[in-house]
Amino acid sequence: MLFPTIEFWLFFAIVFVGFWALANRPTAWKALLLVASYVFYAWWDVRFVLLLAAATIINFAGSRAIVRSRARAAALALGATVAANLALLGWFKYYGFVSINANGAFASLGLASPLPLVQVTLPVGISFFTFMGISYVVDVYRRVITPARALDFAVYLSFFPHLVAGPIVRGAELLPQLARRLRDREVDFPRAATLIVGGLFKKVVLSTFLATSIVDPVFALPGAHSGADTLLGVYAYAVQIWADFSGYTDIAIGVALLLGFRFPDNFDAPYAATSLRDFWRRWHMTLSRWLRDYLYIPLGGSRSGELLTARNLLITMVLGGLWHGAAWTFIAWGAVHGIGQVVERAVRARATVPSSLLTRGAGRLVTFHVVCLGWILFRSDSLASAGELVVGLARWNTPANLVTPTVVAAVALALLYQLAPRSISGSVTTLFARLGPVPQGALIGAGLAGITYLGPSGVPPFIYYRF
Amino acid sequence: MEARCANSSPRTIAIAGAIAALVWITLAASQIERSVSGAELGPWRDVRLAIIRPLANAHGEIAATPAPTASAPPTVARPMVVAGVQAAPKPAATPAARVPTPSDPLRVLVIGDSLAGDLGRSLGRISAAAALVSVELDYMPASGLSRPDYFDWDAALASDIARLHPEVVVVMLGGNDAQSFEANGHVVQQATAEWSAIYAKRVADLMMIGAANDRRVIWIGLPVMADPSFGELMRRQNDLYRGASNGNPRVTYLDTWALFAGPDGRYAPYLPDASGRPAPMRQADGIHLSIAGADRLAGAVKTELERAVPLLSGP
Repeated sequence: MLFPTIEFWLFFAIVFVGFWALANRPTAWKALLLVASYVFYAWWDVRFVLLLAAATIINFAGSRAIVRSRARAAALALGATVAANLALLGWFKYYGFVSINANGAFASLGLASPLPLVQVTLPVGISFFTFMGISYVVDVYRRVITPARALDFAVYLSFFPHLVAGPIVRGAELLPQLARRLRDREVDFPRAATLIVGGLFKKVVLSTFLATSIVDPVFALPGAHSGADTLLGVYAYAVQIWADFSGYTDIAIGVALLLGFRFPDNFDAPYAATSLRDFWRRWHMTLSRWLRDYLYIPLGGSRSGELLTARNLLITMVLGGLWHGAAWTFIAWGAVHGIGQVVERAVRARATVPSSLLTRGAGRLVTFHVVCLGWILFRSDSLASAGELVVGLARWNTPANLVTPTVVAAVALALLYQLAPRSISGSVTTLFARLGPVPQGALIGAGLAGITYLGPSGVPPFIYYRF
Repeated sequence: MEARCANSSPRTIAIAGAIAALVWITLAASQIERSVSGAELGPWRDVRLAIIRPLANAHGEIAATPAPTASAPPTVARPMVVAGVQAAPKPAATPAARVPTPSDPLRVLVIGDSLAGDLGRSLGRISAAAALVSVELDYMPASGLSRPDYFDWDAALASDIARLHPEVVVVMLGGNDAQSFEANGHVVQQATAEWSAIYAKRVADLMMIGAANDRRVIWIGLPVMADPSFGELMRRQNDLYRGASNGNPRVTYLDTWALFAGPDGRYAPYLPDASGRPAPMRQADGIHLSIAGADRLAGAVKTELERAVPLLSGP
């Protein structure tokens, strides 16, 4: 059930009415959210409902074992629960990749691989709910949070707005909201409405337009296009993946808001970043925070000298790349960001030039292009295809067929939008809030009609569903 | 600055939501009607059409576009035409009668659904290396011949031919076609004799468009599928493709069933690649092709191209 479909909004209308009708009965509205979330998940593939239930039971039981055990036993319980999460993720997401590469490696040595080749279907959302499960049990172990009641935890892990593609919400952020009493008149509707309509525009209109106009053709045959087509195709992909993923997140945050829940922000004008470190504070922020708190800092972070910090950065970013998909292209993408940040730290430590408009502008330009280099790896079928595309960037002796004024304008406006003051979107929300429900509804309806006319009738799934 | 606005009650939100839905349906009735009419046949589609059609009619929009078929294909997200080796379009010539060169390569158009997308990308890659074949790709995910109201391949192919002047048309579709459709004023149930007769006629019509003016058509059969019951439906469609190709001398049917089957004749997720090592042939859905699988199919199509155009493989 995709967000930009009539099916989803009918489903949500039923959940919304039922949820608020049960607002004074906490167990009932939580049970409703749980059932609704499992129906939402079953819509993708009913077989994997059992997997979601298993992940819930494993993490809940693990958290109980942690709080009931003494120090060493608690650590063992934590280790076992984290390992169980990683085993689920490893089997469903990485077994095929590991077995085929092991097969090749053993074959080159003239040996038979001990790993049989098995095709495993990747359940949607598994990367997100296993990471949420890990963060929950670690936070319980660290005593950041107290263990939640069973129903609260089950809703926390499966809550449908974040279930299939995030944001990765921490226990400390969502569980207190599940434990509180719902009060009437507490929904920030203007913000929810602007997020949802804006998110739909980004996904249905902008992302789809750029994908079909230039990104898909350029990346499908990377060696066959002019340098101008290829360069614009890469820039357009940078905009497309931002529009697609941040559009999804905006809708998810808006939908949760309509039920009175606040999710953390996931994007903050990422292409305005002046450094790679800054980029990761603005791009998929909930994943960045997760990697920082549960991987980078436990590895030692930046406390142990330049060399160990570089190692920790590289490990974190490469594993972060691998989280996105079981392929060498994602590992290489993570490595580009890891190496980039290592170089950046070294330059910053030795830099003597004071910050200015010029240095910040140069920082933005360099960061954006390093990020684009990463996107080439991220979007390509293989490392060889990525190489072909990079070579194609130098092919300026053939005519450009895909560069059109509309594509150039869409890319340029989307990038300029990231530099615009945030007060602009805040002002739109404030103006909207001054209206009554009738003009508010009329404006939303007109916006949706515009999106329907500008967008195609068949909208591809969100890019991040596959992770 | 995050706007801190007056919060709304659920009742107010419900009112605004209902008005939004009403305004949206009213303003975008014709577009919604087109989108809904392309959905899978069934009660859910009927309910939605029953709601939306009167509204679209009230605006006279349906009268302006009587049926979302050949004359009014819906706006769709289509990764339109991927250029292979750049070649200036020229009028079609008999492909077997000329020697393709890097400056005047054989113009091949690949059309179809997402499987054609997998094939076209690989064929473009391997052909770019040889530089004697220029591949253009026009594919539309979820399309086929069952539902011309969703996407009309007759019109799309005619348009592609007029624009790109291909000498060979490679067609791969059918994975989305095992569904009922409306024809002759009623719903034609899938897997009936009537369905097969109408579908076979649509296949033959598309072949005729592709093969007109001395063009060659290579029709790619559907490969074995992971789900045996779905595979059986595809096998029956393959019989229709093969049968239709027998009636047109300029059409070659390329059987891919065995190409993706294991030694036992069943679905095989892994098969040896060019180096002889096992490689994943299919995506996890058991339908689409992996990169190695698409390369395997593209190799078979290239061999067929060389058979169809003898001078392609050299003097």
